[in-house]
Amino acid sequence: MTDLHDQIYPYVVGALPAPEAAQFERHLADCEDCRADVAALRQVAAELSNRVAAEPPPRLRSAVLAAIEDLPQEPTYSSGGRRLRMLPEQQQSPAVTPMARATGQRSSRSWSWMPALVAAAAVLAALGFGGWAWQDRQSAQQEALQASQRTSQLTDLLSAEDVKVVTGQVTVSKGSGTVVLSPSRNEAVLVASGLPELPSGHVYQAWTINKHPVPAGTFSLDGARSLVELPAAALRSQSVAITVEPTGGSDKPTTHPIFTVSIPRSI
Amino acid sequence: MSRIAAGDQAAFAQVYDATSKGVFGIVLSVLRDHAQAEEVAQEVYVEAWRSARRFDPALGSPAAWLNTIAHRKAVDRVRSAERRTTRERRDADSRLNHHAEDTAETVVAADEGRRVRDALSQLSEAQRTALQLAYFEGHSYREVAEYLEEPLGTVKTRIRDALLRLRVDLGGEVPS
Repeated sequence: MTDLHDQIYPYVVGALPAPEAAQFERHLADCEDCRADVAALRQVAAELSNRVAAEPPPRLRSAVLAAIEDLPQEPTYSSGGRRLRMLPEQQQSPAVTPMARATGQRSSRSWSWMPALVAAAAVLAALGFGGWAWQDRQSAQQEALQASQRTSQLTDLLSAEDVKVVTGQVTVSKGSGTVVLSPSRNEAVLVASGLPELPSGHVYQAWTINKHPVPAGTFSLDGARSLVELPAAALRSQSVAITVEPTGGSDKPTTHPIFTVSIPRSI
Repeated sequence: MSRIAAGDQAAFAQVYDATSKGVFGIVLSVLRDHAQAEEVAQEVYVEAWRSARRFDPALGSPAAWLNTIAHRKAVDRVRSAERRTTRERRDADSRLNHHAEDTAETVVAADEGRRVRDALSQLSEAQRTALQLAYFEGHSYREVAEYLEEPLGTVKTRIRDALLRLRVDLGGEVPS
C-alpha cells in the first residue's frame, strides 16, 4: 500500500496521474500536517517556475481582463450542505476538494468531492432512491424496474473516482435538484425531486449554460423524482438550470428558471 | 485576494501583473507551444477569477495557488493530447543536457530566476533530471521512471529529496 503522505512530493510537482491526485486530495482534506506541507511545497514549486519565467504577449493581459469583465464569480461552496442532510456528519466536513474549501460564506448549494463508494449509498439515500412508495402491485413492478435501472446508473456514476455532486433548491417548491458529474466518465446526470405538477401541454426542460443556455433535454414528472441524463457539455458548463416549457421543448428558455446550480470547476 | 473575491477587477489586474511571467513561463515550459500556452494561461486566469472565493490561504499564497492552477492546466492539456512520440522524447533528452540554453530565449533574467537556478545547481544531476521531466515538462512520475529506466521508488525518492532540499534553499518566503 502506498504511503499517502509520501505522495505529497509527486503531487506538488503535478506528477501524479489524475486518480492518484484525487486520492491524495481526499487524504489532504483530513491531514493537517499534509496541508501545511503542501502550502510550503507549492511555494517552492511557484519559485521553480521563475526559472522558466517568460513575458507573455501584452494581448494576453487585455484578453484576460476582457474575459473576466462580465464573468460572475462562483459562490463559496458550503461544506455543511443542507440538502444532503442524510450524509453522515463525518462525510460532510472533510468531503471537499482542498482548493474548494468553504470559507464560511453561507450558500444554498453544497458540493462535495467525496470518497466515491462511501458516498454513493448516502447520496442515493439523500436523493430518495431506495425508498419508493408504491400504490399497487403492477405499477410497483414497473417502478421497481425503472428505479433499479436508474439506481444502478447513478450508483455507477457515483463510483467514479472524480465524481462531483452539486445540489440546489427549486425556487417554486420545496423540491431540489442535484447534478452528479464525472469528468473521467464524461457523464452528467440531473436528479430533480419535489417538482410541482405541470399544467397539460408543458414539460420541464434542462439547460446547460455557458453564457447562453443550450437545451439539455426535456422531462416530465416521473414519480417523486426525475432523472435526466445531461449532455457531456454539462461538464464544461457554468451552470445547469431547469425551466418550464411547452411540450416538445424550446430552443431558448421562455420562462424563468425554477432551478439553477453552478458547476464547480475542478482545479 | 479578498478584494478579488469581492469582484475587484483592478486588484485582479495587479495579481496578473505580479504573476503572469511565472504562470506563462511554466505553462510554456510544459506545452512548448506559444499559441497553446497563451490559450491555457488565459484559462488559468479566468478560472482564478471564477473560483477566487474558494481560494484557501492555508494551502499557500495566491502566487502559489495560481502556479498550481497553471501547472495543472498545462499538464491536463499535454496529457489529453496524443502521447509524445519517441522522437520527441529524444528531443527532450537532448534538451536535458542544455536546459540553460534551452530556456535562455524566453527567460526573464530576474533575480528570482537566478536564485532558483542557484538552488537547482545544488541538486544532484539525477534529482535535477527527475524534476525537469516531472515539473518542467509535465510528465507523470511513471513516465519519468519509464523514460529513465529507473524503478518508480527511485524516481519518487529523487523528487522528494530534490523538493526537500529546495525547500531549505528557497525557504524564508514560506508564509506561516
